[in-house]
Amino acid sequence: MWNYEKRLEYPINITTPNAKLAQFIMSQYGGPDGEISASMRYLSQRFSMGDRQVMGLLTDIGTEELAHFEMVATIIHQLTKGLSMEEIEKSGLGPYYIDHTIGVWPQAAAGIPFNTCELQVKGDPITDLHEDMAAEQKARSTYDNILRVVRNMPEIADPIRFLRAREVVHYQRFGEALRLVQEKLDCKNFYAFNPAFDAPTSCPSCGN
Amino acid sequence: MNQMNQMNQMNQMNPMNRGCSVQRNGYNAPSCSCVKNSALESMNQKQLLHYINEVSFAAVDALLFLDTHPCDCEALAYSRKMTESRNEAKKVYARRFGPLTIDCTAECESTQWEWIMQPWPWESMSKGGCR
Repeated sequence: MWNYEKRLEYPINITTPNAKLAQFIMSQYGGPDGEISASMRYLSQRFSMGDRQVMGLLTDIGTEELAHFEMVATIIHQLTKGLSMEEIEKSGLGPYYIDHTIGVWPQAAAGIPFNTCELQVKGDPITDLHEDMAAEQKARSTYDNILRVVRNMPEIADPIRFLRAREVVHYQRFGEALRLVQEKLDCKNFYAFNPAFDAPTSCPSCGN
Repeated sequence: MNQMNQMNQMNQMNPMNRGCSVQRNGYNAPSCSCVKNSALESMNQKQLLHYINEVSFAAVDALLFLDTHPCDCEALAYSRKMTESRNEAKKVYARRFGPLTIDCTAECESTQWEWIMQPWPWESMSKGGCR
């Protein structure tokens, strides 16, 4: 169950539209390391996480990612609202415009549609938490790449810096979650079996 | 079967029983100063929304920290204070400017359905919005 809150997690007010930047930043909406990918990954992994504490973390980070999804959409909307046809045609946004006008649609910067193959739910807590930590770092790198392009535009760079900082915090929390799960396993071999699937009824390594 | 015992412990886990004896001083709380109700009444719409953004962010950040540090008393007290301030400010905002969440609609004094009358968050200031 979710309730909508009618505000952005961090305010966005972009006064100058820019078609090229909209196309770049769109990657964090529907690209391989984007916010919808993050939210779907965490909210879906909850069911096989096994550990109630980590289920809570996945719920809360997955929910915050939805707020980030809305923030990135707002950036794209405000960067495309009011563009002239000349700007659209010259910027490279033309092919996107033909299919979506200036509606907000999840795709990567290079035009690849959002694809769930960008995320994984392995159903194994240790595997999934490693995926989550990697995902946060990949998103952080993408925001770094965006920041190099928009560094001199405070009204865009400011919310992007906020989003980048949240990737760092989430990475820290997932690292703690991984430690919590590992502390409950045999430290000689964390990977002997899938704690969410095999335990406590069987152990593939010894057949019991 | 050492691993089996470990897993049984995992299944029986109660987060509130974990780590209580360990002193954790790790939470670096976002700086956020709560204000009294009378101060909320004197803020304009932009200022009040800014305040709600601040305390809400503090509450979210503390929430994630508590998920992995459930016995950190300092973080727990901070989280409760931020959540209380947030709820108070949301009520004042709903009464004066319209609801931010659907459970605040009863606070509104307007005779019309304010939920759709106020701008949506993605509408920028330059186009007549107030954010």
